Amino acid sequence: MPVFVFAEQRDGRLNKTALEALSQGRRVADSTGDRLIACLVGNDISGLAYEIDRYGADQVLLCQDEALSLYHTETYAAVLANIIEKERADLILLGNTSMGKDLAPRVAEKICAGLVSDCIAMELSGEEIRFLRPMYAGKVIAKVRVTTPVKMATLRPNNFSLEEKPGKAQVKAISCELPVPRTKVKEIEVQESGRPELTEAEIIVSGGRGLGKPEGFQLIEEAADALGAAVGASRAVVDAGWRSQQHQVGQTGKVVAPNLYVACGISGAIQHMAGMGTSKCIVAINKDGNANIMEVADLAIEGDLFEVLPEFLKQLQELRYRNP
Amino acid sequence: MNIVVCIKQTFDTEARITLTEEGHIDERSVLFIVNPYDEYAVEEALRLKEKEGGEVTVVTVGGEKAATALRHCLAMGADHAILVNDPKLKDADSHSYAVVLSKVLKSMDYDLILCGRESIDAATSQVPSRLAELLNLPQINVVSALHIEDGNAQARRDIEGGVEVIDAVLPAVISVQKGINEVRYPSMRLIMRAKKMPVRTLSLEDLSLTSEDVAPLTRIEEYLFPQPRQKGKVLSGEVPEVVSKLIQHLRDEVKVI
Amino acid sequence: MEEEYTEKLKKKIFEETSKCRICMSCYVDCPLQLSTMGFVTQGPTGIIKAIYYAILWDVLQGKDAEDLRDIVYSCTTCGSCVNRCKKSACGISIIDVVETGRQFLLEKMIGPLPDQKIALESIYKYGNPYGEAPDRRLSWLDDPKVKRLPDEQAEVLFYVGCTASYESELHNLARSLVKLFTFLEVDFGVLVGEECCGDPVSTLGDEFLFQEMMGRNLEKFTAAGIKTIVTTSPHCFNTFLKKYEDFTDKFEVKHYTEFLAQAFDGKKTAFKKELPYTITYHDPCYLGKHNSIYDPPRALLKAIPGVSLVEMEMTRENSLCCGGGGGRMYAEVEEEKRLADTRLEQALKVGADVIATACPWCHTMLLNAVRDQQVEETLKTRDVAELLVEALDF
Repeated sequence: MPVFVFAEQRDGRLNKTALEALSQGRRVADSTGDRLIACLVGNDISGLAYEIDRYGADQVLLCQDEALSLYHTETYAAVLANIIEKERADLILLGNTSMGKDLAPRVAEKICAGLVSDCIAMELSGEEIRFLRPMYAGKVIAKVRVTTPVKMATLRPNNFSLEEKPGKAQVKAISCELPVPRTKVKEIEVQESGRPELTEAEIIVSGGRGLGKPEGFQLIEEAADALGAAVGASRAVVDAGWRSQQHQVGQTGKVVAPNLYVACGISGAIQHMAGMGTSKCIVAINKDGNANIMEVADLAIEGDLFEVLPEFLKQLQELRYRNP
Repeated sequence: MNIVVCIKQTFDTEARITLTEEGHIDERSVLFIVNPYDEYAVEEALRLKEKEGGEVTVVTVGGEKAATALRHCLAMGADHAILVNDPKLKDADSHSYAVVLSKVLKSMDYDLILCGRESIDAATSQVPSRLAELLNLPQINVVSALHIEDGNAQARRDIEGGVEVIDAVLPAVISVQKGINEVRYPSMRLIMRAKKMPVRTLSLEDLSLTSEDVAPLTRIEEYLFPQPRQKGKVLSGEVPEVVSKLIQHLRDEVKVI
Repeated sequence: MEEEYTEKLKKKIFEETSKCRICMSCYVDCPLQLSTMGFVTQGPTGIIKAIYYAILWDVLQGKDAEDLRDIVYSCTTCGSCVNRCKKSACGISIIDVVETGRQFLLEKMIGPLPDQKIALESIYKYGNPYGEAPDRRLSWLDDPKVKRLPDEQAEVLFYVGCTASYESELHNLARSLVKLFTFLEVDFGVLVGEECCGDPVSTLGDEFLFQEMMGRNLEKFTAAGIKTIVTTSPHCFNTFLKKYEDFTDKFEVKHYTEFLAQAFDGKKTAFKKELPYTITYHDPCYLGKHNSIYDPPRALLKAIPGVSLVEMEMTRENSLCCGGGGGRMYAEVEEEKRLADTRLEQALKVGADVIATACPWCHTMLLNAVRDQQVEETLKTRDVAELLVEALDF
């Protein structure tokens, strides 16, 4: 049976998780000899089909309507549920993004399907799939089986590797009756910081209580900008008001999995680790050699971040000057 | 305004997670708390009640112990508490919870349903949306600011890289994000007083629900403990030396420079 | 039952506060008055009258309640006002009114300040205000020979306290005390499963939670079979001595400076190394003002060869609070000039190169101030115990 992927787009741009879901979908479809079908919903987005081509989709189901320009739960849920029923989809993948978390369970309940959220791996054996997902702040991984014929899963961002498989997807326009939504998006306030978004960033530089005071973040920001990174914060400093909730990395903040996570003055409480524990490389800078985070860091630097970071910026600048 | 808050009793994640012989999560000697996100929901409900009048009811699905979580909310100022406790709910998943909660709610009069955005134990963030679908209500998830006026909810919702400003017609299901308010502190005395307050307990039969109605759609077959991250290299020495080694590693191994 | 409890609190507040003639003698001594230039409150009189009138006129809703909360929870409970009122006026137990006011506000769920709430919840759940895991409490102890009570038994319990246990900057202080007790051949041990004495709970107004912590601790101390408790912190010392029921019937409690001053009496020659420091001693409020212990720490410092002990302004009964007491360690309160910064200036003015103290909170506040003001090269922060260990030159 074909694998369906909800290819999330906002403002005419495909979300990175959509590409990750397509890559994973392609891998699953290949293992069972099936097709990969992408669902693209929005308005004026037919151009995105070309991008989807790069990731091996066999078909793109395109549903466009002015009413779908902005994401609204009820309209998008109607479209997706309609596609699933009409096409008799039995495996649907989405990104575990703000949209995915809002849409997937609504659709799942509408069609009475089991949904596995925040999936980090899939085990395929024949026609059977087992989904792996973290629980209890990442302390435990649960292996989940969906007992309904239709199975849905949202995939953790930055976790499944991108794999390009260029092809030519057949684009099929579909339409369906749209309900009048009872919510209305008035405005989308974009946080312009020029820095990558936390959950999508390749590199994150994070600051914690060791910074001493809010002004300490200036150094973190400098380091982040030098690396093209996003800025993160521990719960302690967010609670203290030094940084907004949007920047919090951790179980009650954002779960991230960048290539490089630089933790400055962060002790590494378990709920923080739950938010960045699967980063590919963790560098920790802390005065306390016994801090939790030093036990799991790939590179643990026992030192004063107010000495280490400026030196880092200095040497990095020198290096770049010598190798432009 | 009559507000219903759906809460969950969870473990404190500082707890050491171990498995029983049967391969279930061992619940002995762990600290149980009200799911932190749900506390924000209860606080928001109480603030709305203080402004507009009305009543706040907290509902949960769980075992006997879950009554403690309800009592914490009563200590904070909630008016009524309902616990649905039934052994048939042993393997409940998000769908099961949503079905049970929707049945409880169908028998109630409410203007607004509040939940936490997710529980810190299972963290599926599915229940609010499933509940909204079952009750055929609009939903807004991960709300960081909420204002109610003339039967409308005006909310600010966290999305990647920004904030969505969104309205919903009430009644609606709204899940809240941390930081939407400051949760009040019930003193130990208030907590002890709440021990004497009534908690209405219901079984599936009381709700005319059968096992089939609440059968989970997912099953956890196994719990695995992830490989603990191994300790890496400790860089020590003079700062310039240490930094130089760091840059080398980032350039050659991690390849981000 | 609720009415009874709050009525009891109200009565206490009204009785005590109505004695105040607003003579304003306490005004000058209040550290809050100094650091906020009178912005937050009109001194201790202002704080207790604010509580009084807010209750009397039932001005306890919305923004008014928050403002009251901010005023009442800014007090560091340093005790200057209490001493002044006793000397110059009618001897009102001002801190009792503040703490009862806090109990009242807590009962109404108007207080404490949000950060303080986190500290209280943490004390209940983990036995310390810092959200740290209980099993890491003794991770600072690197000496396996030290007795671990109650499995092992000893005469003296070294009650380390939450801050010295979990704050890495203060681990040297905890280890110094271990070295000193070992050197003095004291039969001592540390308590496995040590929990918070409850001082922050009492000062922030959760009377019943305090009873809970007190109960837990009394049980543990009794099980450990000890006779004497020596504390790192004057706050723990004060709490055990004055707030724990029937404590002194069962145990003897001393702050480490008192204990060591007695133990080192006649052993001054033990200090082999000369420390050519100009030291000024900051009197912690809960050691000095609350318990009149001024001389033992000074005697210890004077016994160190090479030390020149100089006195700042505002010492002893007039000591300037560091700003850490009364629950202020956990909350940011807006100040024109941080109390600890002012204290630093006073130390520098008398030419000190070391500011010594005997309280983990004073130590932390002063250390942070030294860092903020970037005077680490000029002024070092040390606890008395650390200096003694340095002079013993092990």
